[in-house]
Amino acid sequence: MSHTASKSFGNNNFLYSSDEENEDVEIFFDDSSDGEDEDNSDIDKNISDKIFEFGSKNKSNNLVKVPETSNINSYRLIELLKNDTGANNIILSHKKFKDKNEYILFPDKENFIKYQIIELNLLLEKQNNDFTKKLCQDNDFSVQEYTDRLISLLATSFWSVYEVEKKLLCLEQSKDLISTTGIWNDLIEITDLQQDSMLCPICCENILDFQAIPFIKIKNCDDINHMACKNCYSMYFKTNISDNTEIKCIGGSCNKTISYTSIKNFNKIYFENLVNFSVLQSFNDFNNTNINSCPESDCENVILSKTCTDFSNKNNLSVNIEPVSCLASHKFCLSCKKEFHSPITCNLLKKWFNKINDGNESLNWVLNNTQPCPTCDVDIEKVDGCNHMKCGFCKHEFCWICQKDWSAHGGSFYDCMNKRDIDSKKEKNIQNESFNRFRNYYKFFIESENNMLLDMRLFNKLTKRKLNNMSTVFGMSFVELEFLNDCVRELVQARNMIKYSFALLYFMDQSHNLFHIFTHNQMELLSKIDELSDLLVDINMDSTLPNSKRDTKVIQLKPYLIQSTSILQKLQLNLAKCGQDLIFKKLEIFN
Amino acid sequence: MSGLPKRIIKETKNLILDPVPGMKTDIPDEDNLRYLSVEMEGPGNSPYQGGVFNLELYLPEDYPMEPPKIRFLTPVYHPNIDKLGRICLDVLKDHWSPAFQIRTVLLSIQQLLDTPNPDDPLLSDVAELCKSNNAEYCKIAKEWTLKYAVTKKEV
Amino acid sequence: MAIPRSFRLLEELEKGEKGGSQACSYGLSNGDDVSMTNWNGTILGAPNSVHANRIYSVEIICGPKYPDEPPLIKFVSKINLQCVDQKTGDVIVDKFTIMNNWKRSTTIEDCLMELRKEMITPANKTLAQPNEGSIF
Repeated sequence: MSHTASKSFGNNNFLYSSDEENEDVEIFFDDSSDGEDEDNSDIDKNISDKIFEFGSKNKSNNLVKVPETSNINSYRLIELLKNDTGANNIILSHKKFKDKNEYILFPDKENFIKYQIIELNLLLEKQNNDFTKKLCQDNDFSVQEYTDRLISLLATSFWSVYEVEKKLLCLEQSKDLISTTGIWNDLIEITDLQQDSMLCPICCENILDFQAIPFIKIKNCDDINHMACKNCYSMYFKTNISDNTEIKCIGGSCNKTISYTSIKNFNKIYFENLVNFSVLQSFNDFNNTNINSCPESDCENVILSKTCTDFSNKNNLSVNIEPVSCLASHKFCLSCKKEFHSPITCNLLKKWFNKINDGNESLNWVLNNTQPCPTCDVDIEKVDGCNHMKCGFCKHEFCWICQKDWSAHGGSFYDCMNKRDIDSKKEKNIQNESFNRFRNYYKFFIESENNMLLDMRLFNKLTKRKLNNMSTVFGMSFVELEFLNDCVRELVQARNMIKYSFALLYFMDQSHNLFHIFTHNQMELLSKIDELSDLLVDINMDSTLPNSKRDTKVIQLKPYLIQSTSILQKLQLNLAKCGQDLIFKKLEIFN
Repeated sequence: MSGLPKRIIKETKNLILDPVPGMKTDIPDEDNLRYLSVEMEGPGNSPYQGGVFNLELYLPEDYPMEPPKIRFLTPVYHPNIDKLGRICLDVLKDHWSPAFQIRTVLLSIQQLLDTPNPDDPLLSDVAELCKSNNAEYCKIAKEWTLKYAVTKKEV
Repeated sequence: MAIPRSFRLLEELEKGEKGGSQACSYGLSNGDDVSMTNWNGTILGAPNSVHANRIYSVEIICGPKYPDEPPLIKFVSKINLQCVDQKTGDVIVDKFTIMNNWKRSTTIEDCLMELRKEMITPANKTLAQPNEGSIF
């Protein structure tokens, strides 16, 4: 029995079929972590080559492993792969292991859906027990169709195969459940009623032509009032389908769920709406942390955690130190589904944002972007993330935050924060102290965020232009130039961590030694960031050098930049671990 | 007047000709046949006994695919009925089925007056009292019934 | 056979209770007013204007003929707009298009959002504004 469905989500058209003759083909790419990122067209070609090679050898599965950090146009890629392999069911995914957990990354939710359906197939194959066989025999369906029907179970189980497995075990024990889960509850059309006309109990219209407007009911529902004309059922679906994961019998009181298969046969769009809604619902469910869609706007990536972690305890103290990033390298918190926020916990972060929202509007002054040079009064605009300012006019070097001489800082702006904190401590009014403390940390928080955004904007622009340029001038491949991207990405990441570390510090007891160890680590990370940020600005913006010279300088600095990138990584890890110690020691003050 | 669905005509006719015991349905505005007014007697042996409660009901465009909209106009002290008369009842929300009728809904509401559901409350303070000190809850509910649902009829 | 006043206002109230839009909020002045006549609203000042970061309070009165007729809207916070009576704070219907060309489907939220747009029309943008926080 073959069963083909064409699905359309948004602009992309995917065809997925469960075709028995055409077995699934699994195609893997080695997880060679030394960044096999290339120009998109190269990736396409590369993948299709490998698949061709692989596909001829073994046609057992249909999983295409895509390299990480690739911006794939999944529609184009799938088309390409289909042509090359002749396989129908192609899924793009990337497997990753981190901290003993297994993650699977997908470019979009369509691939995720297809993957989970295959997983469901595997589960049934593995079980392959008498129960399944008997169920299929009793109902005169193939095992394949049975799998298709189980999509409804997936949809009502947050798209977790593990949950479906649990439910299937329950099904074996209690046959009543089969009718409520609606796996077999198909709709049937009744055309011979052995009477000339019949009143539809829903719209109260007298139906005369049963061929044109048949009556519809659930096959195994025998209540005469739970029957409705096709028009009513159509209206019923239309009004209920966009915000439900299951549709009940129109009669209501029998509480039977209509099978997805029937809904698909009735109107494919209705079926797609059901699937779509259920997937979105599982993404948005904060208790369901195993399935996540990337929160970055314009990113449709999906991350599936294969390890079943219990995140239900939201007071969880642990912070994910090393996040899993999506295929487009966006890092985010798998627990609160927001931007990655190590070293602070989801809970404390929530408190922090509440505090900010309570705070008064005057805090906005920190957002100001220009300042006069303290010696010559020329307006200076910050263009990069570093707080080490140098006036282009009088060459005076000063700190953006406190406007004092940079030399007085011992090379880091962190120093000025420390002094401010002590200054504010002297104030007698305790309430004022608390507010001042918050204001100080908020200022650093906002400042770090601005620095991060500035760096991100500046370097993204620079590297994009540069990479194209250098690749042609020096005849280097994009893989060889990947170090520059890595470096910039790490720099932005590190700035992000600095930002959240200030939020964490606000909550912590500064009289404790760990607090100072933490701030020390923070200072080290910051000075490395500033050094690297300075260097990148210098080699990119030095107007005394011609373009080609600047590029040569970048190439010359390659080993240094690679080394710095890994130092940044290590410093971040240190800070994250130290932050975790702080949280575990419960050195929380303000609440 | 553009066509009123047969279903609505049939239901309202039925409600007026063959009323639900203890309930009086009326069409206050001949220009809007989707808008009904209901007088509901408080169920016997409940703190609402002896009271007559006014409700208003509107059958939205998508009725019966969508449930009717209904609220109390007479103040009621009840954990599932708020100060604006809005009613928290499953058949008016997720558990609505097109096979249910206005009659079903009215009977469910009368049933709700008789057996409040403090575990799914609209007003948490009333629900709390209903659970912790049922006698006190009944006393207040009776007072409200006397004050708002009985005197009105006598005037 | 349009939706009657009470159910229409209940719908609007529900939307307002769920948060309405980000730039404005509204709700009943008195939670047990069964007639749902008096409402309070706030409008966040339009960005990129003198109104940015200001919060304006308004009173809304939905009379017995609402939504066949527009509500009465009155600014509590002082604001200088052409469609606002500078003595009383009342929104002048003749000078406020959305209320002047009233449609039954127009909601309280639509009115508040439209008032927000008024703040940045060329005619209003240059008007001097009273101190923040002063009231009519």
